[in-house]
Amino acid sequence: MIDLHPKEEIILTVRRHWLIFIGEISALIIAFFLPIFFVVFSGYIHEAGVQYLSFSEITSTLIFISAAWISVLWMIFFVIFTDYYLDVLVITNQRIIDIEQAGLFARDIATAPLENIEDIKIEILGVMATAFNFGNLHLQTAGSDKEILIRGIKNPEFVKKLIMSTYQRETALSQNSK
Amino acid sequence: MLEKLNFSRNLVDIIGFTMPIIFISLIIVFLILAVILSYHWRKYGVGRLKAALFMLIYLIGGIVLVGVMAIAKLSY
Repeated sequence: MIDLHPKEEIILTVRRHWLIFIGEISALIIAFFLPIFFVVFSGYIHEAGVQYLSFSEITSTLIFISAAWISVLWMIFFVIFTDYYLDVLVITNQRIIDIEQAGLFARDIATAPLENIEDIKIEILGVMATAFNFGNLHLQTAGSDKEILIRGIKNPEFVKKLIMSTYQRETALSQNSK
Repeated sequence: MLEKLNFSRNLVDIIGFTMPIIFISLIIVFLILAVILSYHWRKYGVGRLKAALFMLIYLIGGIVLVGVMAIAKLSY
């Protein structure tokens, strides 16, 4: 949960592009299909193992190993998914909150008030990023050498425009109220 | 011939001994992870409905796989 300031409203919550997630689980997808080798080569495996184990014992063992393997992958998938899902950029009418979940037991939260943002740079690198419209967003903030970098964000151009328009609107509102 | 028979018996015993250990270990890890994931989804604002949906998918997938492992173990 994010603790919002008084009169603070969430304008946009944005995650990394789903293709980034697919990239992160690509090794799992390949690993998921490994038990298919058991099916393809089951004839050879049975032939080689039948002198030591019965046909049903070999089959049961192969099914057990496959299910155990997929169970492990299933659990890893959910850890990666949670990491992906909890990595989020929140834009409010007062500030930007970059929440980065690193595994299950580490969480990094960077906050920058809108008025402290000096420069916003977007990077769209590569064919896939161009085709699917995702990229990196660099936020340079005042009073800090460290910039906030959000990788693989969906529609970075829109996010940049939204941050700028929100800042302009909030500045105009605060000037009007004075 | 006798050596082969001994090896065969040993192999059957080893697999029969290892299967329940792997089975129980996976169930324990699965349940611990369920608690950890549930905590994260609830605490970090996923929303109750979505958190419940994620947990349901996690549990259904896990139960199916554990069921397949149990059937394989029983038929061994």
